[in-house]
Order: sequence, then C-alpha cells, then structure tokens
Amino acid sequence: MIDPGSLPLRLRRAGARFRPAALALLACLAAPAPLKAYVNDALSFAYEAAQNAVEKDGYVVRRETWTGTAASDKPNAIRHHLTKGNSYWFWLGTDHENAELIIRIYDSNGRAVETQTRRFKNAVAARIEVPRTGAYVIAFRIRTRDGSEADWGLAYGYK
Amino acid sequence: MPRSLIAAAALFAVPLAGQSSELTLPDRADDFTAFAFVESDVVIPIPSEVFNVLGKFDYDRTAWKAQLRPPSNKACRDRIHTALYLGSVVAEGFLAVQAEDSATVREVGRVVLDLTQALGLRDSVLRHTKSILSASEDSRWGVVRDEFDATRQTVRDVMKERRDLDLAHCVSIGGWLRGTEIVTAMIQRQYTPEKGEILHQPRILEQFDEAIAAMDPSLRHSPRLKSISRDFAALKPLMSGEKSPTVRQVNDIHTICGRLGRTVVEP
Repeated sequence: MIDPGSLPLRLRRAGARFRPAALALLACLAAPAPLKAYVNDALSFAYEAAQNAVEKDGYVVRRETWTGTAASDKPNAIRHHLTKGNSYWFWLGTDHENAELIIRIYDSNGRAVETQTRRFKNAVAARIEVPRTGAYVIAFRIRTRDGSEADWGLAYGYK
Repeated sequence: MPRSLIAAAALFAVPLAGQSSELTLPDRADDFTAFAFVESDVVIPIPSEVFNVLGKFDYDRTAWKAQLRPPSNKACRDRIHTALYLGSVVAEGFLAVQAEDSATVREVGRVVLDLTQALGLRDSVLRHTKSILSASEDSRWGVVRDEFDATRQTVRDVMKERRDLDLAHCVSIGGWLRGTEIVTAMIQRQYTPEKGEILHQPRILEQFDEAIAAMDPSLRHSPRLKSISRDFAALKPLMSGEKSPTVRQVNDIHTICGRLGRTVVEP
C-alpha cells in the first residue's frame, strides 16, 4: 500500500483526476518506503516510461517533478542545470488518450542537443549525454486530436 | 458514384486525414520566447547528482568520508539562518550516503528534525527522517539518498505553499554552498579540467542573486545575506568562464564556500 504522505506534495496535490495504476510502479522506481496513495495520471505515465531505465539501466529518479495543463500544440519548457559526466532521461507523460508528444533539449545558446528519444503509451522520453555542464532548456509540446488541453507530468532521472 | 471513384477517394482519404503537420520543435530556439516556461527558476541539482559524476573518477569511500563534517546541534539565530543551515545539513546527508557512513546519516536525520521543528515543518518531514534512520541501519543507501531528496523536496514544497519563498531559496543556497564546498574539496585531491568543468555554473549563481535581490528588504539587508551576496559576486567570475575553472580557481571557490559555510551558515 502506498502512503500518500510518502509522495512528494507535488504528486499529492496535482490534478483532480487520479488513478491507482502507477502505484506499484512507483514502488519499483524511486520510492522505496511502503507506498499507498494515488498518483497524478499524467505523471504516472511518465513513471511507467521510466521503469526500464530505472530497473535495467540503474537511473536514479529524482523527487523533483512537474505537472500541469498545457494548451494543445503550445510549447512548454523548464530550465535545468545539467552536469557533464551524467546521463539524464526526461520522461513526459499525459493522460490524454491519443495525444502526440514531443520533447527536445536545448543548450543555453538555443541549439537543440542530440538526444535519444523513445515513445511509450501516453509518454515520450529523451536522453541526453551532457556535452557541457550548464543550463539547458527541456521543451515539450502536446497535441490533442480535438485541440483540448492536456494534463502532463514530467520526471527525470540521472546516472 | 462509380466504385472506382469511391476507391480512389478512399485511398486519398487516409493521407488527407493524416495530413496535419508533423509535431515538431525547432532545431534552434534563439531566445526561447516561443516557449511557456513552467517555472522561472533553473532546476538546481541535488548534491548527489554532482557526486555521481565525481564518483566516476575512481574516488573510494574513504575519500568521501574525509569530507564529512557531522552537523552541529547548536541553535540557529533566526529563520533565515535555520533555513540556510537546513539546506547545508541535507547536503551533508547526501555526502554521508556517498561515504556510506551510518552514524553521520543518523546524526543528520536528528538535526534535520530539530531544524524543521524550528521552522514548523517537522511533521511534514518526519516520515522521511524515520525512513532515513531505518534504511541507514540496513545500509540501504539508495533508499537513504531518495529520502534525503524527498526531505529537501518536501521542505521546499511546504515553504512554497506557505508563500515562504525566501526561506525556500535559503534552503537551496545553504545546500548549494555545502555541496560546492564538498565537490571542490574532492576535485582538489586530484585536479583535472574534466572535474573542474563540474563547477561551470553561471546560471545558478545568477539565480541566487536574483532570489536574494527579490527578498524582503529586512532579509536582503541582513548581515548574513549581505555576506553571501558579496561572496557570490566573487564566485561568479570563477564559475562562469568559457573554460573549466583552473586548479587555482577551484581552490578559490573552495575557500569562499568554506568560509561562508563556517561564518554564515553554520550555527
């Protein structure tokens, strides 16, 4: 069982719609303590996408995550300090069925950085081998079929 | 309508329906104005993220252990002081994980509880500290590291919910100062430019400056934060160059962060 209090506040307060599906998954990822709670749907898809990287490749998932609601087709972004020598995965999830997602990473000069990308059900991910320590922009875009807004969740891990 | 025409229309129907433009993001985004930023701040790495890079340079556990400075139980003078020191102590916790030192982890857990009590946050982090203490007994270091991360995140989230953004920034600053002091000490042991590059952090220092400048004047003008601002001005050129900081610059960064830690952050 998942203890709601063991999850970051961001997870507990994010969004009005929740589902229990990702809880066992969360237990496999970052949260080692006994878990019993509901997780924001969009973020749970991001965590599902993270599963292989965590279990097989040894990535450490951070507790710092982001959630929100995005207008269809409008690019959103976060700024992130990344350290050369680390490899990072960024996982973007949405609970909007049949939405298209894209994620790209830019250096501080605005140039898109080479990344490995993977697509999952309701999620997309990008991996970067950091070419230089510094600030990067993690940008993403979600397009829904009917043009409606989509809830999203973004998580990241490092190795 | 002839069947052949219907079939042709059906053939075209698929590409037409799927003809909406491909979802893309540009190869260049010169000023990022096209993006809606979720937060204005740059995400600052936890010390473990940076330790992880250094860990690839063949440092053994004793090298990390040599940097440990068990936390003090002395009382802090005010909330800003407490928040700065809380950030520093959590950074010490990440170091204790790296050093796999159960005794220091437990001590850090206890001091975190005292400091969060002083800030009215004890109940929010209690479950994390319990997990830290329990996992350290079994040497489950991944769990301990995750719970320190959770502690830091919970503290910052609760402070933001209470609109104590200034305190949240102080936690970050205290953690960054101690983390950078540790990282520079490790780099000093065997300097290489590759290790020095870890210290290329211009945007983080700018962000701290902006955070302090936006604080309530009563805080911004406190001797503690004035000292930090003054020393950040000295750190900026050392951590903003095009090339990796030299060994001398690494020494200077270490000296400044260590001095601030001893004179401003620690009780």
